[in-house]
Amino acid sequence: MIRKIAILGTDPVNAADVPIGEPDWEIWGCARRADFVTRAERWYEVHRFEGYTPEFAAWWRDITRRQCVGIPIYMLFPEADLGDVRRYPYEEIAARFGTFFLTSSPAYMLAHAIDEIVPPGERFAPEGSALGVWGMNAEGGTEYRSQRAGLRHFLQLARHLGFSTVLHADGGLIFEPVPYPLHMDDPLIAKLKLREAKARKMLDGAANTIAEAEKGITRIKAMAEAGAVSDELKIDLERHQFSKNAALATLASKSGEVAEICYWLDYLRA
Amino acid sequence: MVGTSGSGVAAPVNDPSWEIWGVSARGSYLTRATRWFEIHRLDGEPADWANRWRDHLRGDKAIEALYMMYPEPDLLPGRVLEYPRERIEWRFGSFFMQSTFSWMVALAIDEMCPMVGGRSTLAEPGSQIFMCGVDLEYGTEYREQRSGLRHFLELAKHLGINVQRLADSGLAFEPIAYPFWQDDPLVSKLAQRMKLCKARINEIDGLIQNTIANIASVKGSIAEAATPDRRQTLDGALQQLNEALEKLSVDLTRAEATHEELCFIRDYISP
Repeated sequence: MIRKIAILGTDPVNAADVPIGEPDWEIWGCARRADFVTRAERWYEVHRFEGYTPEFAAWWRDITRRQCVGIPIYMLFPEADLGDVRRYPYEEIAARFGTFFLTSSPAYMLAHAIDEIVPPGERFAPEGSALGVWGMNAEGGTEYRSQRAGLRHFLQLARHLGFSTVLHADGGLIFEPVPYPLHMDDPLIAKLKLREAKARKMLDGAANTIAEAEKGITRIKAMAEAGAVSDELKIDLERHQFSKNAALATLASKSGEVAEICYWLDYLRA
Repeated sequence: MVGTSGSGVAAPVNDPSWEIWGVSARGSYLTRATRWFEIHRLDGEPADWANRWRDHLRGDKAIEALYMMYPEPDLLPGRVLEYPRERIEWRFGSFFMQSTFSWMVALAIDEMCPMVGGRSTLAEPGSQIFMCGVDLEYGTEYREQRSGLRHFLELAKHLGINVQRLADSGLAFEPIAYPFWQDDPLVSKLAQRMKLCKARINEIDGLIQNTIANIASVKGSIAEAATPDRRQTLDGALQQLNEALEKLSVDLTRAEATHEELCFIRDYISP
């Protein structure tokens, strides 16, 4: 049977474009269900509620109950009283796909979709099968690096098994970065690395200036406590304080610059 | 597929049914080399290093075919082939192209499971890829390379290729999946030890900063000391502070090394 499955995350940027109005698409969601998700065929909850604080777990159980009325909830740690709860087939999925790329809820959902459409023993999806991803980018820095790899792995695998994949053009899951080793002399990446190196040099310089200024301030204060008083010392103290403040301002602005450059380097290269 | 780490000796060089594909300097135990891969742009490397490497490749008579992304035909006349980058990138994308091994396994899949009518085909029964001499397991430097290689090995498996890895290789271990690592006892213990270790590092670092400040302060006092006795006392204090600073530096290095090792284990057991 030909199936089209939309995997829905919570990122508001493109989640609203999910094909809810197209009945040939199944809608599979996870986490908090947004108002515009007027229908869903499944929901996924892979976390262990018992591992949360009791208050949070109670709140989240309540939300899960209310947002999953009438639809199956697939759980790694089933709690039967939450609704139409089904056990996520973890052992089967882990045995078939390994665990390395099971790094997020959507990765579990993609693996499950592939497993159902291409069951063990089959090799390829029926022509016309499709997997789409909306409402998730997993692109923000190293925190999401392993999540991004997990999602891209299952999407690539799906493509090679004959699925069409549908991704949002502005999502972090579609851009093909500059591969190794070509990123080693890609002009845009080279320029960004140069800017990063310059900014980091200024950061180091600012940190050194602060350390030197603090040493100078401590020294002058010790001299003053020992009885030394002079206009020169006072001027010296002001000079150290001024350079410390200037360096702190540099530190703040260059830190932001480095963070943004790192984001783009992370995005642009494989 | 043979890398340069010690387990490369496991390569089945004496079994003619296996092709031997490798990278970098060929180990003496690799008595034959069906394909070799040099995907870097040698002109982008330091000239001395690049010329030594070119000489090395020119002298390697065992290499039957050298695949290069930036071909230099004179390195092995008649045996240098251009790596089909455009075709491979079109088929597999670039996201997981993070190491030479990613490109190698992708090429192997492309040849074993060619596209027919816009779809992948299955490998012939009996097709195999064996990885040895490559672990890509140490630290965050290789984290991405590892995910790229594992992606292609998984893909190969799903397209019918029997993938073999050595049991002690970083490519064989299946890590604890999300969200299980959130309350896995071993990961929790590691997290606790890392936290303690980090606190120790911060504590030592704070002590070092205080000691440096105290040294500056004592030096300031020495400059203003009114009597030789006072100066002598302060000199003694300065010496003690310098000794303390030296010891703290050793402690800091030790704690940082411990933290690094803990990071390695955590990195290894969770993806």
